[in-house]
Amino acid sequence: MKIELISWQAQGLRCPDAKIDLCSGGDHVPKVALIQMPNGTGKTTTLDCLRAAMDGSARSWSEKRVLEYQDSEKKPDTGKFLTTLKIEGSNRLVIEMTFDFDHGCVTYKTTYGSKNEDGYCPPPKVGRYLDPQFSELLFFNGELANQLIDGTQGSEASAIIDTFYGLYHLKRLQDLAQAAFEDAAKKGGRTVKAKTLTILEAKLGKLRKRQGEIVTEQSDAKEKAAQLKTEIQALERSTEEHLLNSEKFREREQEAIDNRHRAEMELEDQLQKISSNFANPVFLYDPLREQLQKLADNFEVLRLPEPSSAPFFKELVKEDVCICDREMNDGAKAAIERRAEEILGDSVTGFLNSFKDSVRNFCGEACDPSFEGLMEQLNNSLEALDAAQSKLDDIRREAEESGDMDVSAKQEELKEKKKKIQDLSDFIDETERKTQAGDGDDCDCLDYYAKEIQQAEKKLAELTGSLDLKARTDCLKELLDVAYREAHNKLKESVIDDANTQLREILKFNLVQIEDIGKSVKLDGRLSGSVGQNLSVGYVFLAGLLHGGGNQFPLVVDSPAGALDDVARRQVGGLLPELIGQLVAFVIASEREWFVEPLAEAAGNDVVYLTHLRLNEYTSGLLPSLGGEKVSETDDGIVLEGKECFFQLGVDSVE
Amino acid sequence: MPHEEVIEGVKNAAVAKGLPESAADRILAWLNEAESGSFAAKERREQLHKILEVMHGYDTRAQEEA
Amino acid sequence: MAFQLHPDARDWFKKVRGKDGKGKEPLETLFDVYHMCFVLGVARGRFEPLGDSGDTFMDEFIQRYRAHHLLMIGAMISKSLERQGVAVDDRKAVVKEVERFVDSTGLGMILKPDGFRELNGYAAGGFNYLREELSGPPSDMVFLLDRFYLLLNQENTQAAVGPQL
Repeated sequence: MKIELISWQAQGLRCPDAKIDLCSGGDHVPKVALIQMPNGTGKTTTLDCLRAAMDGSARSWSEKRVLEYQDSEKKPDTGKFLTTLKIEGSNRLVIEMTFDFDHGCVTYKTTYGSKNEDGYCPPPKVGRYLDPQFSELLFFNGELANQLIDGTQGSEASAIIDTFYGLYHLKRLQDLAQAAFEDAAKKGGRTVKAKTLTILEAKLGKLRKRQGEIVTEQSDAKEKAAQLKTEIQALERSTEEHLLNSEKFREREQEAIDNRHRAEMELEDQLQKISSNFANPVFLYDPLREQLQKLADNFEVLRLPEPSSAPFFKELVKEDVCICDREMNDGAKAAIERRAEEILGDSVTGFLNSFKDSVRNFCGEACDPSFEGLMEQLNNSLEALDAAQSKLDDIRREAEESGDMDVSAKQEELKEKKKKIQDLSDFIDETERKTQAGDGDDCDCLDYYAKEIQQAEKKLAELTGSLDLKARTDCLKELLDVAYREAHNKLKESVIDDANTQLREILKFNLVQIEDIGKSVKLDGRLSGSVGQNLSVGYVFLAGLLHGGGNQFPLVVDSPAGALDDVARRQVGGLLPELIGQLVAFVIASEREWFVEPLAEAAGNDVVYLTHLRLNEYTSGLLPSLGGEKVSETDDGIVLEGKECFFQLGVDSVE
Repeated sequence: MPHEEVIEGVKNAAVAKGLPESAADRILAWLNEAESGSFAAKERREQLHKILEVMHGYDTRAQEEA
Repeated sequence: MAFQLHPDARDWFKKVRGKDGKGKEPLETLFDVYHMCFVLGVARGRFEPLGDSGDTFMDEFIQRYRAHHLLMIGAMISKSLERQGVAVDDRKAVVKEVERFVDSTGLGMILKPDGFRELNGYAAGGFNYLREELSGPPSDMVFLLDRFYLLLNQENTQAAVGPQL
């Protein structure tokens, strides 16, 4: 699907009346459209209306909201906003919004090709991509990309994948199924005592609420524990550094650290050796060697497998003469066939031969290294590790006793944090354990709540006679959960791979890669990159979605360079046209520097420069010096096209 | 049309649950309509009921849980 | 039929493995967990059939186990013959038992359902034994390996093992 933004026109609204034509009256849609709208020109109104035109959301605006868009000076009864899109490179979709300020509502008219309809009715194939959840992705300010990394933006990063690939429809179906079941249960419940149902429903509500609270608390606890772990490691490192800088303790501290490190390496090496031999049962339990040898020998004694096999006899009976030269009459055939059945067929010959080979290969001599030997070494390494740690503890104690306040303070803090992490760990264990006898509504065990909720739901379904519907609804919900998980994980992997391939190309000299996409976009090996790197990652992530699978959608960006420094502006400016098919960027004068030039260069100068001003005494005075071509002029607004006038508009003039 | 991963996810999940082929087909038909944006509320529920018809009912689940 | 763990095993080993997916060496995969339990079950002669409650996790030997899988099957057969009192010189009976567990008619060898059940039974028995002898789910890998080694090789396990750290 290819959707391009061609033009829009406003009349009677808070923004000046004007027509903004990105194609300058022609057919070609430029790769980049830069619209300079100084503060007070109605940029927010324009962006709101563009979005509402695309997703039809103005139909549900409140009266109060609609009135906020009325031209405050002229106060007309109606206002209009007309948006034109190009679909699949040829057909025009025109969406007209009429603001009725008397009644506080917005109505739509849709024209597609020659079809003209009242209402918001884009063709279905287009409508799917103009869904409000999706249109959110097409409109964003430069901060959004940064917020994707630090997780402070509204939607979770992984939810964006769900939105783009339509996975949220799976959730919608689940919700619809649950709602339908609850409606049916309510209807069925009318024949049962209302009080009984109310009590049970209240119980269910309470259980679900507490379950939700525990899930949140668990998630917070895990996050806090991870944070504490990092802090503990930092404290331990800091204490080490402090003691290494002390003349009194330096030598012993270094020695103990070296010993600890050595013991850790040895432990790791021994575990690795155990792991590489683990699959061999004889390595783990040496007496098996003899047992298996005995079994193989026994098979030999029993002449298993038989040297000659059934197929030989089966072929033999087809001959006219036996191998002993006797005639192959019916009697002889019957005897041979009986014999062939009695001896071992082919069903286990293969196994027996391979088994005997395996025993020959692996049970000849004891394994070297042996499990016993490695366990001894492992225990020695563990002892050495304990001894080194003990020495380190002694040093810290001595340092404290000798009045080292720094060490004392750090040890105190460490103790506190370790206690906190233990408490958090205990809480997490409590939430994750299986339910046991004695659990009640004061416990934090999620398994308990899951089982209680299941029982209560079943009871409710029984009372309302909706057991069968509940079973079917649960079946569907489970299926959709599984389907969602599978699809989401595969798509996420694919998005990460594609984004990382792009990032390897784009950020050659200061590479950053995406590790995972959850609440935020997680970078590999770090919490965050530089501002420029973060923005690059954010844009690559979004652009990858918007232009994946042969699709192209316009990206409408408010303040794309935002709070970036000069270096980052250059980087992002040069990056965007490579990622996005059509960029429509609303910039203010202060963003021009460092950003617009690399942007234009990367777009091969396929750029339209538009300056939109509200006409007043001051701006009217500026016009002669600005130059540019007047492409739209009304009594309260003017649009000028041209690079020179775009850059001419001073930073200290209209802002 | 739902994305191919969604289609595969639904089909695999239906197979794992031991449901007939029509289960995945009906769910995918619902998703297709939902994506098109032209799904009326009444039809949405009617299609849902068709999906529920082929899900495991109380007897099957009671046996599974036993 | 497939490889099945005791239904409580996954959870019991969770802490020491570190996570649900790829765990710490040497228990990186659930197959490693299974193998540990199986060897212990065979060593201690603990066979406890799972019935319908098994936790299916794999339907064939994973790559890492294909070099030694015949030894595992052989150990199972050896123990099974012993357990069922099959005389080792009774050719017909021995053949019948082996045929019950494996089929190598085709290009490869396949484990028959009874073969899986027998392996699973020893793994379940080994798990139960391990769980009985330790006072709770282990959280330290070296401790677990140490106890595992002792349980494999010592008769007087109660005295030898001692309390878990």
